[in-house]
Amino acid sequence: MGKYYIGLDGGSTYLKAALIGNNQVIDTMVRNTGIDNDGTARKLVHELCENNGISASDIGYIMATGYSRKVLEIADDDISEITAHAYGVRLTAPKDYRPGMIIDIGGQDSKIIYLDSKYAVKNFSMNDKCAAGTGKFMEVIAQILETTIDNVGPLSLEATNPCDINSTCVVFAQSEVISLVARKYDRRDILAGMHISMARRIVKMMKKSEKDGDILMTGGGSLNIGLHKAFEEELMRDVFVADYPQFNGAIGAALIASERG
Amino acid sequence: MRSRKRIIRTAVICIVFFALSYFALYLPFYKFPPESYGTSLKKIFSVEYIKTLIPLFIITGVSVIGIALVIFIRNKLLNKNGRDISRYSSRGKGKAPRQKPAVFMIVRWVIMVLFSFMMIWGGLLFGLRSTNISLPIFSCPANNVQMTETSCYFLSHPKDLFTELPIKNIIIFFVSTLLFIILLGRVMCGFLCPMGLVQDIMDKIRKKTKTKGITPNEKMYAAFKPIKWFMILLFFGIGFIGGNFCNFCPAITVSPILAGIGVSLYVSGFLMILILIGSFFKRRLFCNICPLGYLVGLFHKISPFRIKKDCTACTECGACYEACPMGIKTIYTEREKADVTEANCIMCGECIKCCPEDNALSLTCAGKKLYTASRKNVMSGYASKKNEVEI
Amino acid sequence: MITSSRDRERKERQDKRFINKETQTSAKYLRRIEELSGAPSGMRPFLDTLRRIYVEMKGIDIPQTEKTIGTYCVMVPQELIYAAGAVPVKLCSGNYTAFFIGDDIAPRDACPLVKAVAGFKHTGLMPVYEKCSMMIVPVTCDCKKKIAGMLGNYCDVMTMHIPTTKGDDDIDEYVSQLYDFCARLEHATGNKITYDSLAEAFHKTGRAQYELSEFIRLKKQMPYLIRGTHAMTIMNAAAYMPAEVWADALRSVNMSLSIRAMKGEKITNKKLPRILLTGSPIVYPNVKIPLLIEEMGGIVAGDETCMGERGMWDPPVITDNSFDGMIRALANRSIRPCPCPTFADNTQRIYRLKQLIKENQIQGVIYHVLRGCLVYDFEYKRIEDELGKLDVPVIRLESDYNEEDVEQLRIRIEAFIELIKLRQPPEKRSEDSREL
Repeated sequence: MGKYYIGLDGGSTYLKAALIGNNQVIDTMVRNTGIDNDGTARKLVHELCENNGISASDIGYIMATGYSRKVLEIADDDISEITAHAYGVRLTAPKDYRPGMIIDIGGQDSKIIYLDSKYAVKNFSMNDKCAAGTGKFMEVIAQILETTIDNVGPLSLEATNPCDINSTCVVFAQSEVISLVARKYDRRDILAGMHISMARRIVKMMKKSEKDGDILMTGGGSLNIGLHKAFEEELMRDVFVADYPQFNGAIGAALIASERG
Repeated sequence: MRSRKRIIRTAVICIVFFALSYFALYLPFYKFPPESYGTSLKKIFSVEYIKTLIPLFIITGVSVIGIALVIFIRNKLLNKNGRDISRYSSRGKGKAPRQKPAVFMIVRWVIMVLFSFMMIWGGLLFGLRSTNISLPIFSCPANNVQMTETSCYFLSHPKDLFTELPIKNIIIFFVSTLLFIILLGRVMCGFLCPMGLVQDIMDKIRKKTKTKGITPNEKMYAAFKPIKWFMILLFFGIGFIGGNFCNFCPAITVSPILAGIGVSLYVSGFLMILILIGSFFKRRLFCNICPLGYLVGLFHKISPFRIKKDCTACTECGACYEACPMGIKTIYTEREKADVTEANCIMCGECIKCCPEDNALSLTCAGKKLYTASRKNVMSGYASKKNEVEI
Repeated sequence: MITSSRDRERKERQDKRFINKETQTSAKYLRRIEELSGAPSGMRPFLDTLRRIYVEMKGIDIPQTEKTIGTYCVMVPQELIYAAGAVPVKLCSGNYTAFFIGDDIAPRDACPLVKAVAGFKHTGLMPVYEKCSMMIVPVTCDCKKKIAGMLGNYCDVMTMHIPTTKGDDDIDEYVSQLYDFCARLEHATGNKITYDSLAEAFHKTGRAQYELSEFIRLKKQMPYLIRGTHAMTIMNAAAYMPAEVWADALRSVNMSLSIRAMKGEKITNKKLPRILLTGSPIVYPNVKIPLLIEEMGGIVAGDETCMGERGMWDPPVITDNSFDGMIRALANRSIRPCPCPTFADNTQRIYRLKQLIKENQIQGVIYHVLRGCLVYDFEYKRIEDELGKLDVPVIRLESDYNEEDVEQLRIRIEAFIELIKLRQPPEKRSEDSREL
């Protein structure tokens, strides 16, 4: 009789795992995806069990989601990340969040999911082939500006005069940023500009007809306070940030697992 | 600039019409001796009857010549424009696909022919006469032996209405006219009017001979509009200024003469030729400028006969508009309302016959569907014999 | 240009590579269509036609003496071509291999369909294209306009101006174009278009249309009698089959479908999400989207694309049986009911979509946009809004003529199907999971 459920979110950059029991998040864990998806997943599951002192037989169901969900053989079933994210916010959303829209900023893609008042998916949009407006974009820029991804947000808040970054492609944006650096722009301004351009790109994806409810940010990108602020500025309204934003998908998958198991 | 031209053109037509109608008495087409006014059963079975029909022969003859001339001139023009006219005519027995005749259409034709027959000869042959009830259609009341009265005379001669008739008859006149207008509406145009029958026959002849018609468009219908208004003005007003609409009315050439009454024809005869030629190329030409039809159409909102449209079934293919002899465009552009009955609609059912979408259009009477569009009907000309058996 | 024997050799090798690649991809997609479950009996002739054209690389199956006339888009009246004693063939292409060739000829942002056409014509290896005595290109978008000019270097091309509105004058204008078209056809085929030949042609295509309306009536039935991908294959094959042959083949499919309906058979016991596919043309072999939908557990319950129902649903209605009347019927049919986004005001398309959604009980709409197909992309926003009011989820899928984006598409389609499944009432969901 298992009462613990594990959700695995095999993203493009990281593999995330969440352990839930009793409809509460017990533990989360993240690893670089690496080349052996399934192996990493197995290790993660084992570590999760060990850290929390549960045996494998206590685990009722493992649900996989994300790009690599089909190769995670340890999982009992898989579900698309859209559904997983929509489920995840049931646990991770702040108390006063009225379900409406989720902005998920992942490693290599960003998506917007529209929810109805009962947290059911109404519709969704995803970015196209290009990686602009994703975590990867942030990482690349951070590298150029000789900072880490964790510092990107706080640094950008100190900006006084954000630059314009117009390129819609990571590679071109990279060269645009390099040229800005060469022109001796402050890196804080560049970072602020980057956040604004990212926010703008994602806001463009939004369906104008879906206005009900609040906006919630999930995914690794929402750990970035700069981007959060940029979103609020672009949208002219409050944007919530989920608890465990990075693990939202994994938590969602675990929740679905708990329904199945 | 263009609109000024159009105004001038319309004005000229109206003035000509006015002059023609006002001075109609001075432009005789065919004059009968005064004593030939009157008929009897004996007369229509005698040689004398044929003598009475002479103006009709003239009208038909001139119309045929006119039609031939129009076709000839048009072919010349088309040839000049480099269009190959030889393909217009069918030398072999090739037949454009035709759908199987719908019951509605057969009923319509039967009613139209029977009613016209009864209106012309009914009184004479069968003694059916209830002369006081008036129908607002163009069956000429100069035929004083016809089955029942028509309203057109007293409507265009309001003076006579109040001076000649006893009060009881005036009341019957108004009540019956109004009743028919409300009950039947322009169904009368499509089903009863002899003038309509004549025009429909001309159109049938054209279709039989596979002759190219005139393709109407919005501009043409727009041009009809002021003429129609002027006709209305003439119809109701000419009596007040000393004219007589009957001398101008083309309907006079049909019914009385066929009934053997020697009514002298004035401008009407010339006009009838024009209308015959016109309705050969353009179906129901006169109905587009008919003043009486306009009057009936005013009450279309309360008529029980309606054209209903299921806008969710429509694909806006425009077949109904192509088929409509009255050029009603809303029937194909309408996408919200279920009722597409227009003042101009004569309930001929052509739109429904052509509609390829199931249930998209239907003719209803007091909510009951009389005729409904169906793809099967439209495609019935294409189905191979085997298919029919199977279904 | 080819001067030395070495050049010739290189060209030969290049051609061979092209043929290999082309036949391979076409065969692959054909196989995937064949592997889909639930094909009705009688599908063979359609699959064989596609195989003949794309895998065996032969011309269409008609006697040597008959000429073929290439057409594009849905506005060219096939009746006139049959009347001239020729056989029409639709040349809009979905070929990946030709697309790569065309990529070098057409500008980057041109739509892949046009690139593929340019590619085929450039290689000069495709019999369907090479055997055409003449090509008719309706100018429905900028890409089509320029491809018309480009094709003019290779063969006899007639462009047709498509009005941007549907007023009376536009129809009159189109009628006079059809008369010019008659003259051009007569010149190209050597046969005269007469009243009789046109009437005969009407009967030919009319029968095909009759069978088609039967087919669509059967296709609408619930539970499903046929998969949308198979239906689309049938429609696609119509491009390369003479109308009578197609009508006969479709008749046997119709028969097998009615037998299915009578026996109560259906393609699957599962409750599959019903999806409407609309947007840019989906031409074989670019059938990855319908295939993905059905492989991911959805069903293409309706399609509103020009190679599908849109192009063939509306019959020409003869309101006047003179020659002119028939031509008018053709012009009217070609322009008025067509919800092609080339028309400036295309509200009609929204009504058409709503209609299809209602008739087929659609649960979700997939809006396919070919990269560079601007007119369709423009309409997406409006359709999204309108369908949003009906609470029908819509998703925009942008794709190109290559297989690189299959995974991207798969993620989206899968998530979309999951979304629809989750929207279904819960009791049905449990039924579903039991079957899993």
